[in-house]
Amino acid sequence: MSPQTTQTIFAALASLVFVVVVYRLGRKQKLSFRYTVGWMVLGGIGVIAGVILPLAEPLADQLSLSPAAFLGVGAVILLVTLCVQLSISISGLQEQVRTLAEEAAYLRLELHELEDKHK
Amino acid sequence: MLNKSNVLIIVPAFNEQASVGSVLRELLELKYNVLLISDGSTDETASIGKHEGSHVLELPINLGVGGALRAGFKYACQHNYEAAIQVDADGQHPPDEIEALISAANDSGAHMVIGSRFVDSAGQMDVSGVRRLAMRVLSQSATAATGTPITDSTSGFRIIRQPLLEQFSLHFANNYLGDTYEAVIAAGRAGYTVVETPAGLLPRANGESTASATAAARFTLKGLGVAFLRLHKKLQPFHS
Repeated sequence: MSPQTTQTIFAALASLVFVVVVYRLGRKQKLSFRYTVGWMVLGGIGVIAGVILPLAEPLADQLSLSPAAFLGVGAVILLVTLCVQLSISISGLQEQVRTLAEEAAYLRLELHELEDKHK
Repeated sequence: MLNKSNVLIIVPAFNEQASVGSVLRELLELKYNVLLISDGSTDETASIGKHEGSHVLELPINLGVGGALRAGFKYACQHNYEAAIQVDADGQHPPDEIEALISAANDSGAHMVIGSRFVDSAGQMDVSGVRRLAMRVLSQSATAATGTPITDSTSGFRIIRQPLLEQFSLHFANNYLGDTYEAVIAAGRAGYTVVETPAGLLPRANGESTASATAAARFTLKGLGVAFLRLHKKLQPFHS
């Protein structure tokens, strides 16, 4: 078995484990449907990377990169994009938490004032 | 015309049980409309506020001064107040100077009047070299943004009136300096008028200020970065 084949099999198995872990997290409701599917699709790409890598060879050649380096660069770009997307999500959630905290405080105040009126 | 009946005094407080009672008592004795915002306090701050007879907004989590203030600005808008004044719960903002702040707002017609510790007779504040330098740098930047001389852009003692109040109820940062310096920059750049009036600052009734020299330097750089990159809140432009 050539070293490249061994590497491909190892990468596919590692990706498969990743997919299973993500799936289990989704089943336990630790990850929302959106993120479960997103990460599983990415893991799935890892599983079949060995098959699709030769297809990327012409493009990698154009950029003077080996197929493996091309895959690495692609993965880094993808992960950075994901981090930015998650940062956007967190910023939105922070704003939502802030608004909810305000609303909870207003409701509590109104409740106290109503209770005081009926005393 | 602003007066005691259409101005809301907002007192943001996070675990200030030692000083909040006397601050509220003094404000209520002066017949102001007072809203205490307990910013996720875990001590008796909120119950002291209720006991003193103030309206109390209890935030379930700590949002920071800016977060508490935005909640107060929203309350002020919902209850049709014309203006809001921030008064710190630690006793640093003298309640008897509120009248001067309201008068300055009426005389100038400005949307925001800052009670400055460094204008004319005020200047009672003793600050360290680094903090003083930081304040000066930020104030020069605020002067450029507002087009009026600002000597104390980090003073929290200020009055904000409509329509700026409405804008702040929608867009107000809750990070450090977001409620003071960045708010001045955002208001000035959107065309709202900002002026200053002298205001003395009393020593804290309890506890120590947390702003060390290194923290002051760090926050100054961050504030200037926000202003330079225009990362502050965007307000709807004011057209007179």
